[in-house]
Amino acid sequence: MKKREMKLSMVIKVVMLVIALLIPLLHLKNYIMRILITAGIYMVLGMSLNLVMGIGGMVSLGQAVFYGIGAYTAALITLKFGWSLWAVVLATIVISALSGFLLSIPMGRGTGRYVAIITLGYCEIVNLILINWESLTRGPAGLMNIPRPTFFGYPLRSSSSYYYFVLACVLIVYTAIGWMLNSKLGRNLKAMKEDSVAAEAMGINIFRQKMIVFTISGAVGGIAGLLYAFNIGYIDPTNFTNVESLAVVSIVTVGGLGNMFGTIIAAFGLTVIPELLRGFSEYRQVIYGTVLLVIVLLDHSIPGTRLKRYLGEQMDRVKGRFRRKSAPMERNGKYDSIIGS
Amino acid sequence: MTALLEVSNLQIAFGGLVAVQDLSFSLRKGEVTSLIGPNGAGKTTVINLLTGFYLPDQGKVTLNGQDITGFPADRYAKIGLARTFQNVRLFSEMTVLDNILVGMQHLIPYGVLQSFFPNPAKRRGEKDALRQAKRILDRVGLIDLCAEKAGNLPYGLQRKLEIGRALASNPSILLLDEPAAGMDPQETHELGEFVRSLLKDVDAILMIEHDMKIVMRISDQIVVINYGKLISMGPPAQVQNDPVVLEAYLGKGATKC
Ligand SMILES: Nc1ncnc2c1ncn2[C@@H]1O[C@H](COP(=O)(O)OP(=O)(O)OP(=O)(O)O)[C@@H](O)[C@H]1O
Ligand SMILES: [Mg+2]
Repeated sequence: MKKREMKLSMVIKVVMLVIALLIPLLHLKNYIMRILITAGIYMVLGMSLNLVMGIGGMVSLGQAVFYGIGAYTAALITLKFGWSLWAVVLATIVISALSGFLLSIPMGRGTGRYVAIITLGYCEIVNLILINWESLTRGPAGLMNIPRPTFFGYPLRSSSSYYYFVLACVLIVYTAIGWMLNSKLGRNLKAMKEDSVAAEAMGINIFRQKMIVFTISGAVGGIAGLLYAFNIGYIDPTNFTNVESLAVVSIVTVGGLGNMFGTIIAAFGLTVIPELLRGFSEYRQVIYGTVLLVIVLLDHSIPGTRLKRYLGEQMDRVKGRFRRKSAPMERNGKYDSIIGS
Repeated sequence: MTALLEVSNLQIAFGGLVAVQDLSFSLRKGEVTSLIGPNGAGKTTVINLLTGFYLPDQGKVTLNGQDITGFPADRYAKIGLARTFQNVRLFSEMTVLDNILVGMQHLIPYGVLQSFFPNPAKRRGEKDALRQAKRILDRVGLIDLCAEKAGNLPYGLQRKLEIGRALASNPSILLLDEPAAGMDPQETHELGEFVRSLLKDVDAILMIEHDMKIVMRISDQIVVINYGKLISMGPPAQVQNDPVVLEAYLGKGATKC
């Protein structure tokens, strides 16, 4: 049944990818393309947060900080130095990875609420810097006329070309994270999240792992920021507040902690649903909130467990077979301290 | 018989409670040493002190003559000390194989950045690790269950897996905290033989165990503590007949059973 689940999700993914690749050929309205691009940006941002929350097991309430730093880095370098796309991408990754690394330092061995509050504060501080360092960021006025980049001599000016650029970023980030999760680093992170005491006994340095997680998360969040800056061509500090952070938290929660594919679906859903609800503008927030609540209450992830399990069960039923449910052993001491007994 | 690990005057107090007091003993190459004592005697605390989970108030630990006292916990695996826990602490959501691979993580040479894309260093590292992991799974008899979730194993096999995970770090010293706890007599017997056979894989073993039968059978040396203090030490035959030990276990006035 594990195999079947894997096959099923593989098929779903391939179908989705084909649809995603074909969409621009439909010559949809610019307005729709813009929503899809926004969804793609949130997919990247969502995955960056899911690295911290789902893989690293820490709550970050300030993910917009990397989004903002990435956007400002990309915009400033483009406007001031006119570097090529690749140089801008590289610089953005380095700077936002560095900001993630810096954020991880004060965390030390802190967990839970402590980490949550630091991330929240970090975002607020950076936002204040963006507002007040006017000579660099032009403050509340923001940065305007950021030109769309050129990709191998081809300017990404049309919404279709930019759509493909965003799609490529989503795919690269998703694939790279998948590779990472199946490597030494991925196993160590899972181990740390499950039992940090046992992980330490295996020679895993918890502090170092957290630094790595935040550094990577910063880099990925920065890419989302870059995509945002080039998309709109205009950024100001209000784009990167903790309101944005909370939107990303809801994406990750709805999509399922640790489930990158779930994040992609949730980012799509939570970007598109509010747009669909535009007609009912008065009730929009209420409906949106209700949908969000129901999803979270019903399940922790849309495509990850519930749906796949459901489909798997249906397939089994059709074949007239019952799956044996192996009951996990009740294990004593999981929550005990290491002193034992 | 050279001393591999030397513990001298180790001491720690929790508040007013002195859990380990002025404790000295050594582990020698090729030997199984058992650490025994009544409940709450401080046995687990000793392992926690030896592996950096607690920082001793006093005392010194040396490995091959080098001071290794009070290192951060994650360093001990790298210098060759591997432990198990009294209450099994597996990564229960991960597979049996992945648990072993985590155990050997510091031996897998490729770096953080190389984790993110396919490359020769990663491929080679993973391939070697997998081969080594299979060898260890074979050793602990779990090769057929390698794809199973660790949390789904029956209790006895979870303990075996935990030993395998410790072995995976290629330790010179293995520290086992009650490896036979919760097993029936037959399983306990087999486990005793298994622990003894581990001397083929590691240089020395320190085992905490309540089951006197296997302690007497497989140990070269027994260290007995009570209220954190050493009360007897020596080969099984000697410790078995030590009146102080009988008194600690059975109360005053007890005679040899
Ligand atoms: N972190 C701690 N804080 C406070 N007291 C502790 C701590 N760790 C151990 N102790 C105390 O130290 C004493 C020794 O505990 P320890 O777990 O080492 O005993 P043990 O010999 O392993 O016992 P058992 O056979 O029951 O496992 C106990 O009284 C225990 O309560
Ligand atoms: Mg104990």
